[in-house]
Amino acid sequence: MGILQTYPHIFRALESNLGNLYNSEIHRCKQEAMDRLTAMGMPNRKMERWRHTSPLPFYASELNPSFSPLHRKHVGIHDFNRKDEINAHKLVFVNGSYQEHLSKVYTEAQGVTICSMNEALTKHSEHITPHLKEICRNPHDGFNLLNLAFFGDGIFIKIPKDTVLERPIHWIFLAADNARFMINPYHQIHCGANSKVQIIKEYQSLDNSELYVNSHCSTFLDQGAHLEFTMIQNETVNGFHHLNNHIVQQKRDSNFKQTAVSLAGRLLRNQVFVRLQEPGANCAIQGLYYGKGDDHVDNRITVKHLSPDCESHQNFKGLLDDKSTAVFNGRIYVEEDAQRTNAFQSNKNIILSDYATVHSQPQLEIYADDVKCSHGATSGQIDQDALFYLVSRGIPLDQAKAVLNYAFIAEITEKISLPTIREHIQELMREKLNYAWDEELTES
Amino acid sequence: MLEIKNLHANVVSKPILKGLNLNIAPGEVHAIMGPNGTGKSTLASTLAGRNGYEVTKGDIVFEGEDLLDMEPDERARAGVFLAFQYPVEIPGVTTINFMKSAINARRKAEGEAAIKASEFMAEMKKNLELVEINQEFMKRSVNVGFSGGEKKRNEIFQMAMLNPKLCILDETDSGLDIDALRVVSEGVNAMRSKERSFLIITHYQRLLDYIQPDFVHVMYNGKIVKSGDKSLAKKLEDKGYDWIKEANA
Repeated sequence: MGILQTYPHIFRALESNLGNLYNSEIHRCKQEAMDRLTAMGMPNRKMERWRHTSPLPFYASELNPSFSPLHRKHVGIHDFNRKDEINAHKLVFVNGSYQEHLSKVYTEAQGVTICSMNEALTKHSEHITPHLKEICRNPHDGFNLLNLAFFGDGIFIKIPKDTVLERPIHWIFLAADNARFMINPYHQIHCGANSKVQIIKEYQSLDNSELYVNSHCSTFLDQGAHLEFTMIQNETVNGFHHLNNHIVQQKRDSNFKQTAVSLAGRLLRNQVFVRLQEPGANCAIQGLYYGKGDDHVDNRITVKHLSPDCESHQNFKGLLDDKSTAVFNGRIYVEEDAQRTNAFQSNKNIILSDYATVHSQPQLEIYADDVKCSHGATSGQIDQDALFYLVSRGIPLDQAKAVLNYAFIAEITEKISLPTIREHIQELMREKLNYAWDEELTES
Repeated sequence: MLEIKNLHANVVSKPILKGLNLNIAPGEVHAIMGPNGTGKSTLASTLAGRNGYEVTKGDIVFEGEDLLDMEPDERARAGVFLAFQYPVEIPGVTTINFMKSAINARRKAEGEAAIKASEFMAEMKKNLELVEINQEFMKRSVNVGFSGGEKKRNEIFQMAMLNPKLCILDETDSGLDIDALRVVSEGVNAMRSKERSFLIITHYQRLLDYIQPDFVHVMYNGKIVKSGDKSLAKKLEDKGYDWIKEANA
């Protein structure tokens, strides 16, 4: 493929922008990633992992010319406040670069670090390079290496042990300036023993930008740590093309919950790879999606049970309209020693049009014998009995359909623990589904 | 109020109703009895406008309007209520929001403002007491996790909330224990008025011990073959349906 030949040229031309990172260990990691990428090549649709999702749109996009980690302040946007602002640390990125003047990070307990990757690369590189090397040695595919070679900014979070963050972290990713290029953010999250953190990641387009985001996030949960990660993808027509890679490593009794809310987006691929490394670790990976037009939503989840007494849940629900496509690939791997594993997986879809497609693939690989494991995948139409029940009480058909569709995917939001975020997501969903229901009257 | 003339209806291309005639005047309570499989529930579903119930011949006039010309939601807003034989569970939709939306759908269609919260709450409280349902049920998903009796009481509760002109009860008594049967019947009796009519479909006479009908009809093979007063129900209870079957064989 032609694009692969252009990457090394762009890489060399822009290495000089590395500033004081030039010749650093980070730089050497990037070089190694570039070399390996040249040898390995980029994925194509002949590969099983890419059979239902084409990587081609990413090859047609230009790499962000500002790929260097040097800080780029966006001068056009002076302020970014939302009407539904939540009481949270606010980290705002524009086209992939952290914007200090739009962000607000409060003082938390001693030892808490919440900063941009750009800042972390100079101040905390000892925490970053070992992981870059690890990814470089064991990449999933060329996109991992591309991310390493070209990553600029991102987020860096480090929470010391026994610390409960007072405020959640609201991470806002904006597309602006009618941008048409690819960015490669790299993020790292460390949750110390018995710490508790909530992160909300939200994407928003301010104009007709078309950003291709190949992001990577490495997350580490120490013993007893709790992390709840909620991702909201709700964009304009073009907006973002996402390849999100999230690698999570969990120690004893840690607890990880991720919710991916995909309400619009031309191409969304959320890959989560969880390693339950020590006994008692548990994770819940869930998501809801609503596809319209040509939307393509791909959730690719792998949970590896590497130790006994761990528990994992995968639960995805979606509505597919028009010519949209949903792909779900849920893999559960249980190692021989991982006795008393509980692993559950479910993917349910409602298909609203004759032209929508669902590819749902459960994959179970179990080597232990004392395992409770279940999986289920369904695709069907709206429940006609329920629809008639609502209509027979005088509710117009369109409204009844919207109510049932909403109720179907809203189940996922019930497990989001922050009420402000849960309500915000439900509000977005109601807007998308043209749902007019009298909600205000719930208290007696 | 309701005139059914020579009604023929198919379910999946199979003729079920074969020339049914029935007139119901305001304030009247009509019971339809009959053996299983004679089309009683088909009549209820056809009146409510359920998909798959195809009228091939005949007319249904409700309050001077052609009922067959109306969509199911329009029929409901015009005042037709069907209490389901098998109430449907709807996860994620609370009964309170369901009822409020149903009431407001009608108000909107009639050009009225949405119901005031206080007014709605007062109505709800009154009707919950009528069917002896705890207020907590209102915040739960419609019928999810309800017992059989609770589901049927919920049907009568919805009926009371929506204030219909014609109430159709499709085998509401089936599967009810004696307590639930009493509660359901008391609910219906409390709603009886000079304006409101009832069409009660039942297989057994026992419901009619609690709800006294003005007329009893016997349905067999897709039409009404015998009509009388409540003594007809008693006769059916004593003698069974065989004499009806023989007379219409």
